[in-house]
Parts: sequence; structure tokens; C-alpha cells
Amino acid sequence: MKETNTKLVFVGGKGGVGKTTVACALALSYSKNNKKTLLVELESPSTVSQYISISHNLEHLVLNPETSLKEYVLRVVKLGLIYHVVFENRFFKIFLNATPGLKELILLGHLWYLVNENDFDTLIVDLPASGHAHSFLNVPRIVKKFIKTGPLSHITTKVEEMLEHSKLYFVTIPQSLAVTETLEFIEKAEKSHLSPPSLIYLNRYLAWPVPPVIQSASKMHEESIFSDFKVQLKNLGIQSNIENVLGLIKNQCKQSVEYEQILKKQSLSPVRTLPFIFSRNWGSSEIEHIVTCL
Amino acid sequence: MKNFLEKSFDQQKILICCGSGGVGKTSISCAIALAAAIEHKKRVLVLTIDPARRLAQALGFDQFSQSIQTVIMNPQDSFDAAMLAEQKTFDDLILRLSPSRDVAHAIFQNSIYQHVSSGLSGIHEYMAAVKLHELYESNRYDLIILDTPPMRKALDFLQAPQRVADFFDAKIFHWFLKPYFLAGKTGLKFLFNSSSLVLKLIERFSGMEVLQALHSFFVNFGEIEEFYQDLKERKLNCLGFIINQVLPQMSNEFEKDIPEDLRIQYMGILEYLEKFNLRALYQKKNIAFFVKKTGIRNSILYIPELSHDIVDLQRLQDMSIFLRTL
Repeated sequence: MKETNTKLVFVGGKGGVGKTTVACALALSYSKNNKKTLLVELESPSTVSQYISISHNLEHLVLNPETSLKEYVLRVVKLGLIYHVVFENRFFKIFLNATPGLKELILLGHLWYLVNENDFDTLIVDLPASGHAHSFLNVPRIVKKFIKTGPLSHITTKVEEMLEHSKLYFVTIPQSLAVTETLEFIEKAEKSHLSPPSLIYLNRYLAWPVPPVIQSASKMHEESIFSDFKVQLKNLGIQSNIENVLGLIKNQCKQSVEYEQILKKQSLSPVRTLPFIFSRNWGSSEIEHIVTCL
Repeated sequence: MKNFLEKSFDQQKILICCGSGGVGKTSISCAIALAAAIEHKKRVLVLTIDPARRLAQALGFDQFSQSIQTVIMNPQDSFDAAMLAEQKTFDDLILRLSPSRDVAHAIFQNSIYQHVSSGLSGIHEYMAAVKLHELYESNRYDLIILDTPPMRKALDFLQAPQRVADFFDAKIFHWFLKPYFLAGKTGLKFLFNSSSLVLKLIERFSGMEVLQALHSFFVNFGEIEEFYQDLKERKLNCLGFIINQVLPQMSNEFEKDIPEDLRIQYMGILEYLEKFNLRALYQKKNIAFFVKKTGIRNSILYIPELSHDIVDLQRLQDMSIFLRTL
């Protein structure tokens, strides 16, 4: 197999955790470090154009199985007519859609091509939401179980090797559902002998606010800052939605710390927090901010 | 005077909840079930596709299962819940088709089958459609709430059964699946027949109401337009929207009432309060824009950001309060 120095990074996570923004930030970060980077999406429609712009060091591609297959066949067969007759008929489309693992294998094959037959330094792949991340990465292993020879098996072996040298960054947020899914993914990966995530990003982490400036020598517990403040407000007779919002903020800080601990305890992967960003519209400046936190 | 959701409890038999990932769809589906059962005395079933174990525990069972379990809120009120398990639903079908249990088990042992049954793209949704049809016909329930998998294109799940039906219909199916199924000719015939069953069900969906759960803040309006287009093309009706995790808003001058020395002391907290309030304001603007764009005003329900995850029935009940007309 041809030696390649191209780094392949998968970014996975449940829907709604900020996976795409992290993938964009990673891509931007590598490209700024003089690495020729390609950001790949596996779902259309593409969502990254609002976050990053293409530059000499940063390119972007959206893959889908139909076009990937078409490119591959045309590259190999070189006769458009044959492609059209064989692959562009209704039955093949149905077959492609329903056959388990075929679409994923085609996408992985295309990734293999991008990694090995191009001059990118880094490839960042934004994976579709959680449940699929596992089955996606596991496809070569499954296919190998029952297809042991022939060209498909050959492709599968190459793809498997590529995956073994790749990294997976998993994104999650301090919420019960997201963290549970993350731990479940890790469990599933372990069972299928996939490598665990190289890194877990705990996104939307809200640190405890700066403690009050008070003469008292003893260090206040973070939670009591909130209750103290509430008491003071009550004494002043201030009534508004403030208490409500205080409760939400306090809860978010608390959960941030708790889930960070849970993740650190229950996974072998290192955990890095990414801050909660208060922003009206998400765009390139927000992504640049995340880059500094990676 | 009932709101649009409550009215639908009387009018619809199936409510489908769609939305992208992370909006709280499954919890909301259960909250709707609870509301319909307690307030409107309906016999309700909530069918989830991708539920979290935590939610199951909140409802009082160890985990969701493909057999129907009953959530008991009090001696008089309950609703049923079930999950469409990945592999088991197809296993059931094989069990039904196989000439004997031995043959069925031989199939189950086959690693190819194991992969096919869980990986067959769309089989999940296909079995959901089959199961939904059975339950609908059984008349066991006044209302069935179908929770859908999180999807960027919220209505993709409806397309899946059609794809699988096409697959079963196509002759290509013969040579592909034959080595996997030892069920014999009768079995294969059944699969052909069931596909037309699914198509009938999809036709029925055209009269059905679809409920969309949205994330209130980062709602991508491009998605909404796409969703509407999608709905139109499929000739479906959107019943309404539930906007979740709405932030509470304070007045813009909330700081005025707080004396200066206190403000300086608790600078850290105040900074957060300001940021959250700004965020709530943007959210409000986003929602207003959304309401204007879609022209829907009376078909939106708002669920505020709740401090706690849904960990028990009480919290679920707290959530369901927001689904009621006040």
C-alpha cells in the first residue's frame, strides 16, 4: 500500500451538539497552520458555507454515494455509456439505496481516494449524527465477514487500514442525552474493536461565573454565590424573571462540571471543554473563537 | 377553548412528530401522550424509534422495549409506550414467515442476516410503518403518537418505507435476498404483499397531520422552507409547531433595579445575566421572524427551557402543562 502522510480526522457526535462547527474550526485551524486541508461533508445539503470560506489552504467537498460511485466507475471504466446503462437505471438505484453498507463503503472508498491519491495534508470528515457514526465506521469490518475475496474485499481491506490510521474526535454537550449517547457509542466501539475516540470535546461548557469581590477569607462554594445573590435581591424587593434565569445559569454551570467529571471517569479518551458561546448569529468569527480553544 | 394540539386529539388518530436532532422530540412526544391521557382521557400509545434509556427510566421502566409497556401516572390514568427495536422487528417477520422455528433460528445465526436485518437501509422505518398500520387497524388506541428519528430532512423517514417497498418489489430482490432467507417461496410472497400494504399506509399518511418540533434558537430557516416544500410535495398537512427550550426574558433594564455596589460585587453573575438576556432577545426575534415567514400564529406552542432533564413522571407532567391551553 502506498505510504501516505495524510491525516484523516473524523468528527462525530449526536445531532445538535455543534459537531459541524467543531469540524469547521478544526479544518480552519489546520489550514492556518499551513496544512493543505480538505473539509468533507457526508450529508447534503451542505451547512458549512456560513461558517468558513475556501482559501488556498482550505477546500471543501460534499460527498454522496451516487456521485462518488459515478466518479469511481468512470475513472475505472472510462466509458460513460456503460455507466449510464448499468448504473443509472431504476433498479440499481433501488439496490444502492437498500443494500446495507454499500453506500457507506462507497463513501469510505472515495475517502480512501482523497487520502491516498491527493496532496492534502489533512482531511476532516463531518460524520452524520451519532447512531450512524458507529455503523459507518464499522462497515468494513462487517463486510469483510462475508466477502472474503475479490475486488470488493480488496477495497474493504484498504479502507480498514485507512480507518485504523485515522482519528475520531467525538463532540458532546453537558446534557444527559448527549453524554449517554457518547458513552454508548464508546461501548459499542469497544465491542466492535474499533478504536475509542482520540478526543472528546465537551462543547457548550459554561464555567462558574467569576466569584464576587468580598472581603471574606473563606472561599465560597460556587453554588452559594447564586443563592446569596438571590437572597440579596429578595431583600431589596426586586421581582422579575431574574430568579428564573439565575436558576438556568446555575444549572448549566453545574451540569457542565458534572458531565465533565462523568466523561473523564467513564472514558479512556481525554476530554477537552469548549466554551459556551453567546452569539446572535453563528459565522466565521465564532468559528475563529473556537479555533483558539481547540 | 382547546388549542390546536388539543383539538387534534379528537380529530386525528396518528400524530407524527418530526424535527432535527437535539430538540427534545422524544420527551415532547411523551409529554403529548401524557396530556392526551390525563386531560382528555384518550387511550394513547407513543411509539419511539430512538429513545434514550434515561427517558425510559423516567417513565418507570428499565428500558423501552418493542412490546408495549404501560406508563402509570395514577390509578386512573395511563398511557402506553413502545419502541421499534432495530433487529427484533425484522426477526419477528422472519419468525412469522419461516416454515419452522429451527429454520428461523438458523437464519438468525447467519451473520449475513444479522447484518442485513439491522443494516438494511430503511428497514427500520419500513417495519415502523407495518407496525403502525397494525396498531391503527386494531383500534386499541384513540391516538398514536409517532416519534421519528432525528433527521436533517425531517420527513426522510417517510421515504424509507417506499424505498424498501421498491426494493422488495424489484426483481433484483430475488437474487440478492434469496441466499439470506431460507424461508421458501411462500415467505417471499408475503414480503411482496407486505410492500403493497406499506404503500397503502403511506397513502393514508397523506391525510395525516405532522407536528414539527423545533429548536428555538438556532433554527435554520432554510430548513423550514425545505420542510414546507417537502410537505407540499407529499401533500401532507403540517398541524403546527412546538418550539422547545424557549428562554425566559427579563426586561432590558433589569440591572437598573440592582444597586451599584451589588452589581460590582456580583459582576461575574451579572455578566452571565446580560448575556443570557441578550440571547433570549435574539431568540424572541428569531421566533417572530419565523412566525411571520410561515404565517402561522395560532398553531405554535412554546415550551420554556426547563432547568432539569426529564428524570421522572413529575418533570414530564411539568412539561406537558405547556401543551395545554392556559
